[in-house]
Amino acid sequence: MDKASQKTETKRLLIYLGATFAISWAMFFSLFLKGNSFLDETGNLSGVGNLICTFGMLCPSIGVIITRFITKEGYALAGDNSLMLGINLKGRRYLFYILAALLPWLYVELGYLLTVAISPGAFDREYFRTVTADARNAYVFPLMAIVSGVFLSIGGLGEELGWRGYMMPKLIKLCGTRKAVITGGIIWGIWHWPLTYAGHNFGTDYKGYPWVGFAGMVFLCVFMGILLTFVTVKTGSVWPAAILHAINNAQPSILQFFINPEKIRAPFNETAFSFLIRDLPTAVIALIIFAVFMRKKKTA
Amino acid sequence: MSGMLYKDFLAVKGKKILVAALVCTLLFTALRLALPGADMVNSTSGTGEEMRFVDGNMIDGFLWTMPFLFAFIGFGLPSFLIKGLITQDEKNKIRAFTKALPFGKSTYIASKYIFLAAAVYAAMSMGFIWCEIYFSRSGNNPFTDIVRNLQSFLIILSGVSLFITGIELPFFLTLGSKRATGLKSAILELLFLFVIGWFFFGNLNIFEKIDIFNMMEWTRTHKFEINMMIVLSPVTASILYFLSYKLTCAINRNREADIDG
Repeated sequence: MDKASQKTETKRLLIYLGATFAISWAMFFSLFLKGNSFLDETGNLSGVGNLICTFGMLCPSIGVIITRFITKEGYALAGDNSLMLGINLKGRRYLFYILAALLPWLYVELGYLLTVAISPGAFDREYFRTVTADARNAYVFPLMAIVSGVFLSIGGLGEELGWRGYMMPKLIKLCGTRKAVITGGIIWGIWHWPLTYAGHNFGTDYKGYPWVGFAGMVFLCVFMGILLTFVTVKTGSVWPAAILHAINNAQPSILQFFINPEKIRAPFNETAFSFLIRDLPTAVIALIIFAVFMRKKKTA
Repeated sequence: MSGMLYKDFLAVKGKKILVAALVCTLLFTALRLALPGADMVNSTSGTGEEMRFVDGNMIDGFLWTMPFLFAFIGFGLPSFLIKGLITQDEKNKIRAFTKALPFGKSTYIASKYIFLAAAVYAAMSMGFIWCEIYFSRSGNNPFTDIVRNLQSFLIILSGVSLFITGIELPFFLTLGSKRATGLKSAILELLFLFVIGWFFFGNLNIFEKIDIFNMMEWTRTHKFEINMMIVLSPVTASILYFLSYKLTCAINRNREADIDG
């Protein structure tokens, strides 16, 4: 890549990041300034907090629309420097769509399995009754999460259009795949920080709040970013990433209905810590995929 | 393909629809944030009778209709768009024009199926966002429960919407908009006559049993059945939609003259 196009790409990337961070952080901080919390008295996401998160997920797409308008890159649906909204299933690409739909189930289930391995006492056959009266709902939940992830992936699409559809191709062009996935993951993680501070994902009641949460979010985003970038690059489309993201957010797992969080032994019962333990399988799978992906790229 | 989709987007005045949806969404958000709902509370009257009532303003009683309205507009949108799409193509002789382009007949048909599937996806996504907007300041009351049920039924609705689109499209693409609209009207009129006939001769006592609170209780006690519907409805509808596409391609494969050609 010559210097002039490097400069252009960097400029475009900075415009995108500026627009996305400005819009989403302005929205996140507006809630802080009003003195409202993202969490309700039970520690769950409040109504307004949930709405801010839903709108926040759409901000990277708005960032792309604004950037493409300013940089005059156009809004092509598919092809080079496009919105990557095309779907091409030829050449076994459909396999990556199937992978995107099933992978979250695998690593989320493995994450809970790891929790049980660390804290066997937390496994409680009757715990599902606190969530649903009928155990069959627990068994059908992963399928529901997958179907919802595919058909109502608007939140995932909102983020992926920006992060994987615009930022990652630019970063890969500028600094190569290896550095790009790490840099991209860090940027994506930092973008989540106001939400982490507000208690989204980890809550606020853990040791080292909010710094441990900030680091945890970056850790999570780097590894999730690898998986999402992998399926995007392999298919040339943001759809599998949007589907994977949406299903991941729904946390498809049967085992979760049989784990009593109150019985998880210390220090693994801390929200941030248990969250990170659950995400270890994601990190391992991401690293394996990344190693295979990089080796194939090198051979090619 | 992208070009065909963009043409369809312009043909149905997609920009206007998008802007209108966006403005409505912003207005609804403003309205919801300005007008919080109230909770349902239990109380005992002076005569010792147990009572349940919404403690405060009844704004949720009005606002709950908005996500419903939006979801049902979205539900009917693809059916409404089909006619506009095909009529515009016939008017501009697009099918004849596509013969000069370097792609097969199936690409034209595929573009219609993809466009309408995208419309179903967009409409249902908007419906989902409207439900989220509603919940942002809704109270803990039966109206919120109704909208919560609507949100979980959105996927089932999108499956039904896809199914109906999959039935209508082969007729419109094969018979042309005039004859297909005629056929659609005839079927709807027959259905209407059947309903009228049922009103005259059927058992109207059934309406006495219809109660929104009973229905909500049913959804609470039949969660598994609803979850299975959520899983199966869009999957089945997608398979049928794909079969409908294949059928339309097969019917139109050997046609020399197109409807508008």
